[in-house]
Amino acid sequence: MAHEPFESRTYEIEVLTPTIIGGQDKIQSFEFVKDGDYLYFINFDRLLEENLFKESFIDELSRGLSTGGRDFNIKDVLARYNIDFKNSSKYKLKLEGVKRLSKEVVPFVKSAGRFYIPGSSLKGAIRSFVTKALNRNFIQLYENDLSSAYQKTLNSADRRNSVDPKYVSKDAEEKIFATPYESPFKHLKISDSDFVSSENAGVYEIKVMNICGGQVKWFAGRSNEDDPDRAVSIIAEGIKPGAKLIGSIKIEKDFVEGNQVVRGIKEKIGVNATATSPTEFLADVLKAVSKDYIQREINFYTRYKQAQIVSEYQKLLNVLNSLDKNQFLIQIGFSTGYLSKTVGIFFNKNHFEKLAKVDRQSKIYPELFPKTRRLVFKNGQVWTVPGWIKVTIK
Amino acid sequence: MDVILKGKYIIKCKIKAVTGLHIGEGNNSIEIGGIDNSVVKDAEGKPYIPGSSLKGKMRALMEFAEGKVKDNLLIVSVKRSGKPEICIHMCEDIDCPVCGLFGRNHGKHVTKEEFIRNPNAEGKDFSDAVIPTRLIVRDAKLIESSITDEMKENLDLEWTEVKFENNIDRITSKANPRQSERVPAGAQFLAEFVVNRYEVDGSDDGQRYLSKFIKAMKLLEDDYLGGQGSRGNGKVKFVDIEIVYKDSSDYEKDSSDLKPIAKADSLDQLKLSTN
Repeated sequence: MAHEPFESRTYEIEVLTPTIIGGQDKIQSFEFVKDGDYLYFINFDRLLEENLFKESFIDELSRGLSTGGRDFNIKDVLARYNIDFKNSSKYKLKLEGVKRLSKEVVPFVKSAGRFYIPGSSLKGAIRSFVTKALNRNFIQLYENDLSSAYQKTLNSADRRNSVDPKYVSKDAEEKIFATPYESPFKHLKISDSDFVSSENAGVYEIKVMNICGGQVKWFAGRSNEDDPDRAVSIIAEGIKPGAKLIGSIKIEKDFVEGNQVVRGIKEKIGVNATATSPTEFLADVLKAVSKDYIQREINFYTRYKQAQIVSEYQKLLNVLNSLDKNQFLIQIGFSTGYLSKTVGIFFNKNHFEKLAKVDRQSKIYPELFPKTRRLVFKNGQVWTVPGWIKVTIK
Repeated sequence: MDVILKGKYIIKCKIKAVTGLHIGEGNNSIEIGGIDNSVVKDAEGKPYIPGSSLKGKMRALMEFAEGKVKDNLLIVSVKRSGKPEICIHMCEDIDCPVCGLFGRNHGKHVTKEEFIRNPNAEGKDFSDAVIPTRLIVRDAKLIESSITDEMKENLDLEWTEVKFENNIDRITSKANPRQSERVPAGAQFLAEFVVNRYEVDGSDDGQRYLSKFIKAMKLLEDDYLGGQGSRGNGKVKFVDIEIVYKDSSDYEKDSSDLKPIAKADSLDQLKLSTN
């Protein structure tokens, strides 16, 4: 047996568009204070510790918090007690052209308070994109799973007996990539990234674009509005474009070629990838998928006259076309949408009719699905799409 | 076989968790509101790295690096329903670096190759090659100060954090969340290893097994320790390394003011002196 190189290599992520990896619980309005262009996130442990003897403050604070934070403005309370929120905050983030704050902020994943990109997110995104590169026979397995879930749903009078939408693709996944013990993804190892400072992160405003009757509208709760100013804003912590994060990665030969136990991804891939080194092979596959995906999105946004997003995607396409052999683009994280995470890119009206029956919770319009997109706004204008990163393997 | 203990190499260092570290405790505790997938902790409730986890992982890596992962060189350690479920390398080669460092057992062993041919094969005794295991790995205790006050303010539990992950269905895009506990990146543990130096039938080990052990440390740095390592966790680095050699005669002296034979901030700076 030829020895595989044991050494791991370094990956570098360069964030191209605001990237949000959702953390745990939402940050509520009483947990942050807006001051100028910044949000300060309160450290309650420190705040309480330092003001423990101000009884009426503690009372007021607990009264406010027990009402769930509604009608409670922590900034005013702190000002009344002459407490500087800047001394009692964990970190501050710049508001990146946020026009309207909402009641809660989607937190970025953190380790002991520090921003990073989890290896699981990058690996998950790579798996998602590799899945989109499978050859036709394997994509057919997902279609079969969808049909069988659809049949089961039709046949079961009781909803509880229908297929759980969380596990519809389970059989296909197992047929293609086998059990975790025998999966080629065992041979792809990606560490968490290092940490970036909060200066490399910011707060972003996201709105939901919805296509209604062939026209662009903006989701505003019960209605869809023509004017994006009236639309609902999702506020999220994200890493800024330009930030760089590094970690280690090992793409073993068996991931691509396979061995006695594992069948490698090479024999399953339907896109054109010719490189012989594992890194370059994976980069080839991911580039092909991203290119196709970006092109489809450009067509979508062109159809609905979203010139700004078309130009953003065009920029990504230019980056993609100038990449080296050891580089690829990929979209990761929160708000990146149905197409980025599934094989739905290959589905047509018939598939979505079935999906609508299988997944009753989501609104699925078979004629056009997905008909919404989440876009990052800046100063009230459409700006860009979230989650695109450039990965270099050194 | 004549075996004489010539001395002991004592390797003291710190193990730094470069990324979050999850060494599972086996989920045998069920607490209301507890974490699904908790990490192993000592009697004081602090996470630690069991010697068995370190030694097992290093052995496995060495088996691959020394080219011992072949059906005729693996023995069946655990079988289930007529299949070899867990195989490890063990052999009768007296000079085998893996068995020599990590140890071999008494009793009969069936190779994977034999097992596939005949699941009832009797196997072979390697007793003629059995000598006391050279490598001893201590449990590595958490260095409390490595989890700073600032980190502690942001931790979900006293010493650890809870990480959430999702599986996403590739047809419906529905997320299926799970959580697991881990020691945060930056945490350090105090580790100690002992490599015994023997003279076997007149042949002195010298620094052979110490060098092999350092190789295993390097392999581990490029791999991961604990669970969920292929998706982020368990990248570790050995830092502040100090190697002391104690000759067997040193144990008869009153005090041991021995000077380290090697000292380095990290493995890539470590150089062994040849004497």
